Amino acid sequence: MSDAALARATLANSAALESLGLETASGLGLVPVLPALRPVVPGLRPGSIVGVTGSASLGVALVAGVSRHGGENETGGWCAVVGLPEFGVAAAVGMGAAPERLLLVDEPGDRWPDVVAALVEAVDLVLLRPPERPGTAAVRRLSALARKHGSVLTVTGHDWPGTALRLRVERAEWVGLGDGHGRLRGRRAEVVAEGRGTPGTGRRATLWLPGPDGEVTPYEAAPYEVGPHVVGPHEVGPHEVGPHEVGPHEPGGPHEAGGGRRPALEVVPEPEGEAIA
Amino acid sequence: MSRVLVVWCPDWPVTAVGVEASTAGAVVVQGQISACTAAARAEGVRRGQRVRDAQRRCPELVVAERDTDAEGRLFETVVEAVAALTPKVEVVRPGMCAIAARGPARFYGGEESLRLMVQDAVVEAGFDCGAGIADGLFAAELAARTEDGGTVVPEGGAAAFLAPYPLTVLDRPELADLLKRLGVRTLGAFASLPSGHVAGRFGTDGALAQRLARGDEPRPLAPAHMAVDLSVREEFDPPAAQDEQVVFAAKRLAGELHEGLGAGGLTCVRLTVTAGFADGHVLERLWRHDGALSTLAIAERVRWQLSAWRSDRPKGGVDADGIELGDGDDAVWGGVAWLELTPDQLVPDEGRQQSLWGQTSVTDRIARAADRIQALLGHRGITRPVLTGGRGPGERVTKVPVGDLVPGGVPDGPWPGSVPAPAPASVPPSMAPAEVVDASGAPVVVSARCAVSAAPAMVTVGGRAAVVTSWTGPWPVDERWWDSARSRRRARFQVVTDDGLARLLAVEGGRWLVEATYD
Repeated sequence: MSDAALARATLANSAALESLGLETASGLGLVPVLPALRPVVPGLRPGSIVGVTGSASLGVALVAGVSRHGGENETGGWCAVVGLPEFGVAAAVGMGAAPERLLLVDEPGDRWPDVVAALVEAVDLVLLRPPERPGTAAVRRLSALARKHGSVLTVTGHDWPGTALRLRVERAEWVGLGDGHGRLRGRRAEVVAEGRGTPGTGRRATLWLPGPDGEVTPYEAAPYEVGPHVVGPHEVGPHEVGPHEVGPHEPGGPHEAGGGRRPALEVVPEPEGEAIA
Repeated sequence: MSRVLVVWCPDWPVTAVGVEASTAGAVVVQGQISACTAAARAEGVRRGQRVRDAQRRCPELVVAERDTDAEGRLFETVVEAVAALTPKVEVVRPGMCAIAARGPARFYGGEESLRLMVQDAVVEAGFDCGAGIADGLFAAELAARTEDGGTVVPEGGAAAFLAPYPLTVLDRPELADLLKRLGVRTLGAFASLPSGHVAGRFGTDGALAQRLARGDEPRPLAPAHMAVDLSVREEFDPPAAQDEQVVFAAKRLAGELHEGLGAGGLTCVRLTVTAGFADGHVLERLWRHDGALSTLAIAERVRWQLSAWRSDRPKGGVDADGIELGDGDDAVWGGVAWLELTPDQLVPDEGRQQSLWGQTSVTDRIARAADRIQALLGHRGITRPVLTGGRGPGERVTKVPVGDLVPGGVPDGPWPGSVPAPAPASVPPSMAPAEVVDASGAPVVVSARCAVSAAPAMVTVGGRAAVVTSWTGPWPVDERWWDSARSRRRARFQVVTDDGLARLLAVEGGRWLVEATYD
């Protein structure tokens, strides 16, 4: 059974459970994650500390999951992002986050423990990159506060003692670019969860993180396999895939792109199939 | 509030046509009584009656057509008599004129003596009159119309003076009728209604009428000038060392502030709390208000602001200037010397519309957390993202401080040439410079016609080099070419390197920048 098939099966399984009203994230009292991540983590335990390494998209995906599926009655939860001025809001929205339920504290400075303390009382998930190595007192205080208020504290950039669950990305590969042509379609990434609550050496699943339309989906090779080895320069000229085709799901993918809709600035016509060198 | 003296000649239209006050007389307009003398009133003649009805009640009634020209002409005599005492007489209408009372009152030895002097001057000119002094024109007119020739309403006493009057004196029959049916019968009762509700129920005119009933100026003051007028301030002498003392004063100040705002039918969007310290430090914070803060809530914010300062403060020892500091609370910055609350962005108080069921609103829980963070980091410390139009990933997001209104008029367009989905997960606020070289080590350049000199082979960002495995571009954008100050020409590349990162690079003016990272 391939990874993709496994992921599909697990997802179908969780959907079936969901329809029975049984082991869904909220049924277990868990803070929900995006459906595609559920094979790896069924949900985040309220008040727990989650460590994220290896990919900014993973933190963005966790925020999107809570923002979309969290909160009371799963109508959407509130998230806060502390100390990450580069947090990709557009990427989060692409994964399903609601920007009106996001709070951003870009520059908490050395007041970050106070800022996080105020936020864990109010929001469902705090994504934090401490500007410094967190001290013992701050770790103890914030862990206790998160536990008390049932808010998930997601830490990136520094190690946080007492992290219950660690998520990381292994073996990532970007798909869609060739040698001077194409466009990024997505990333095939293997997400690994380690820590308490995950049996064995960790669960893993291969996902589109992100996929061609910005969403996180289980990896299925066929529809999006548009890597450089498939789309050769003889099929798509280097200039035909302009940046103006925004729609992620044009019928036929990149093969139909270009043609009549060229960018306003005309580029130098090159003989097809020759790289600009 | 200005002190105003009003001279009022009773039944002026009748006087103007030469009817003595002691005889029963009336002037008519289109067959209806327009004004009558006191003697006629005693016989039962009223304004608005038909002449025939009036004559039935008072057979000896002297009737004349109303002559507005004569009214104005004859009133000149009265105005001249008053102007002999003080210049700048304002004729409100024939039969009534007003002067500013403050200066003349000082000159003539008090407001009461001024009032008597003006009254005497008019009577000497041959006309009966009343004169009254009060805050504002409306109260002064009613003061002039009191029994035995008018009165002086002491400063600040206008509201109390007006309270027992019936609503008919407002000269708004419909409003008075409606309020009467609602059980509001006097100006005092009307004035005590919450001004926000009155403005909401009766509109601008109702709010204006209520200001009159409260003894305020009928015109709302220009908001631009209000900002200064409405700020409230408390000095502490000796400087307050304890938070409690300052918070207590803040509660009272907040009450004064709300009173001032309510009198103008206004509310403020934001509130500036400024605390001055004995050594000259000033701590200023802007708080969201939206008409939703009670006096206690404002006091609480002052407390938060002070506690934010307290934890900033070095704990004893020696400060940056080498001055030794004590450990006591009041040893640093010498305590709070003054506190000022200033309303910011005044708007008419239109009541509050709670968001409808199902809409996303900032819950109390979130608002409280945001307030605490704004106390720590300032108003712009915590923001909410708003998706706006734009081509680059950084341009698509605007960060709005929590509590501020979301900017309107966001351009909504197809944005041809925007960077396609998926959006990058990491968009740094400022772009890092990069170096891009080709296989031979020469920098890759993009010509004005968007020709790339060579395929990029190596990208160096922050001193770390990585080999390019695949790339695409250039995607040119030529934005705001019509505006030389803001125009921008940029070509974008997506580049995947062997360290597993995909980057959105931009070349602009010959320099390479990392616009975003797909990570």
